[in-house]
Amino acid sequence: MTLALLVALPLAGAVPTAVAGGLVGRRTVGSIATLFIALSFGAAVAMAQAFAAGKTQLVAELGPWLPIRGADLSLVITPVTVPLVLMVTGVSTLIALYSIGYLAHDTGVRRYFAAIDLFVFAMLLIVVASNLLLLFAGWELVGLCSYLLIAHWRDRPAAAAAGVKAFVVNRVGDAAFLVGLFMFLGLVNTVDLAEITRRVQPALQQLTVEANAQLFAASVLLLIGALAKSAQLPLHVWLPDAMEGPTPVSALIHAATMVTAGVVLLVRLGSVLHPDVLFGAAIIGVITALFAAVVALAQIDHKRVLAWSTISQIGLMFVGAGVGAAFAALFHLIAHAFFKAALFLGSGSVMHATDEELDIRRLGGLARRTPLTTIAFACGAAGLAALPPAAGFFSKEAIAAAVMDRPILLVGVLATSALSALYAARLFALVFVAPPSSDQARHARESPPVMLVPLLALAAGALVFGALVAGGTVPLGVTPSAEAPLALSLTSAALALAFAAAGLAIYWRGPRAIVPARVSNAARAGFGFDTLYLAAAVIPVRAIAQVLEQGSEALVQLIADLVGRAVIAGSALARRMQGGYVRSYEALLLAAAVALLAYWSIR
Amino acid sequence: MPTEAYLLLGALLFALGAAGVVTRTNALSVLIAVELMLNAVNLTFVAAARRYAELDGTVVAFFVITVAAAEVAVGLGIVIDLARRKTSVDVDEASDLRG
Repeated sequence: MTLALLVALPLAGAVPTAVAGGLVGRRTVGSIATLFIALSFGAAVAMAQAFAAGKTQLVAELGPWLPIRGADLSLVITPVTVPLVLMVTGVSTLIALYSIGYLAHDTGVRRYFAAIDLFVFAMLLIVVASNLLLLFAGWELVGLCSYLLIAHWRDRPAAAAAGVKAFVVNRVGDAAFLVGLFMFLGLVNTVDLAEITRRVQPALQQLTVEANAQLFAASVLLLIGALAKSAQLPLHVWLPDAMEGPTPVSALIHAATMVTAGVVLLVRLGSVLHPDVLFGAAIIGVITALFAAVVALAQIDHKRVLAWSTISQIGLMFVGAGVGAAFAALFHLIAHAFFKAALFLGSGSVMHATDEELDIRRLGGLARRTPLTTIAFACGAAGLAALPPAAGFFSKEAIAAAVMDRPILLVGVLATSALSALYAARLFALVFVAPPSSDQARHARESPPVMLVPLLALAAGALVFGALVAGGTVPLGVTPSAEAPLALSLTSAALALAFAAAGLAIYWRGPRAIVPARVSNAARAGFGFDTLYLAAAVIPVRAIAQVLEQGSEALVQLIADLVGRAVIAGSALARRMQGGYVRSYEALLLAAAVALLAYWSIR
Repeated sequence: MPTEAYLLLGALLFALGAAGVVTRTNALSVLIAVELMLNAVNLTFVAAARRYAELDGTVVAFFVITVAAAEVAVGLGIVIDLARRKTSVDVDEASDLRG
């Protein structure tokens, strides 16, 4: 019952917000939408207490859905997914609260909050769906909501294009996911996750060559779905552009929900996917993590730094999930949700304070003007940089510990951590410490309390969450597979501290070019992936579309012409009967009567 | 006289009338031909009534006579209007609705 409520509440919030949101004021719309998510969070807390009291599973059977084995409307929650549910609803509540302030002067709040509620609903569905098909429904809804939210400022061409891009790139993954789902259905004849696990797991050892290949292909397809949703190489291109959306949306999509869906999928299906594919996910994760960290280092737009760092951090989660360390992946997922949401909301607060200034070279000195935002941002940055004792330190350590016996992965993870410390420090120094370099920065003003309260709450989470989990106060539902040796802890702490200090030292006095402009420009552009896709996919597809458009236009023209001509020819025939002479009508009448009589008499 | 003879005569008259309706151009002649057709049918009805010794056919024949009277009234009205509009009673003149 609580479980059904948990999922139904955000959906219940979306409907009145969308339908009747125009009848009340903007603030009221936001408050109502936030309230429903908060209620859902309450349900999550109630469930967490039940689990703390010793429950091992909660199931909600809502009824049959499709005539496929296992495809019922049923939800399941286990100790593994409880923390996820808490995080999704909790962080979303704070972000929705923040949005009330952030979008106080926006005319589209009704659209916005309806989409936010729907988004939370969809994400919860991904986390607690008991079968793959229902999970896929959430998966698709998340894609839809991301489109709606990224393109929230729909009269801006860049925002509309970014929304479409996110949607289209996600479609690639969704299509792969769906085909993989069908292959699993063919393989084990059910979509129920628990049953798939039961059937595949023992069979993994003694699979025939053919079934092995099938499982491999199905796993690869599901992995592609996860890569697209989680913005991993090579399907990451939508995420940086998604920064066109309102900043709280970035926090919601890129910290708490959507992008972590791929990790959630890998964790939930960890024991089912083909082991080679799972390891492939770890490899892709580490490559993505390093790649995105380098790109983040070169960004000059503070939201884009965070966007690329999100891609990088999700890469680390993929490493954790890929080597089967569910604990490390989930730990970093939740820690990341806290510090990244704090950073994004901090970023939004900076924009709010400086007239939407995004260029970090034109910011600076905000520490004096906006002290609370600075504190919150510093907490988030400490989490991102993995400085002890912030959340990221413990979670990255857990990931590093999980890949201890795979040196290449370990080096990749540590290098990514070091780079994250560097760009987090660079970002913080340039925005808050360096001398102000524009009038906006000099005249920045602190955000209202409705934005600061959620921001500070998330910052507190970013600061203490890691220690709470590592200390055992907050259970994550899974136990760590490997304990980090002291040497590793010391190494990662030293790396983080050294690189963060270096970053602060380099950028303390303002922007500085330390690599040749050609290199940093290439990195800033994400090393040409966009250009590649433009040439390889967008332009050919456009050309085909153009040909088809012209062809279809010609075809429609032809059909229309033919219809017209047929009517003209037909009416020329019919005209002959309407000669205007009474006598010919009479003759026709007579002939018809004779014909009718003849017919009757013959029959 | 056998009934077949009446029927034959009725059919003959009907065919004559129909031919008149189709071939005549004078509106009055057309009306007369229509009258001929009606009475051919009347003859057939009465012959059948006699053959089966029942009154139904006779009753219908009377109906036809009544209706024919009305028909002639309407028809002559149309002919008079036609004559006013076209200064002749040639039905081929009245072909304004040619498609």
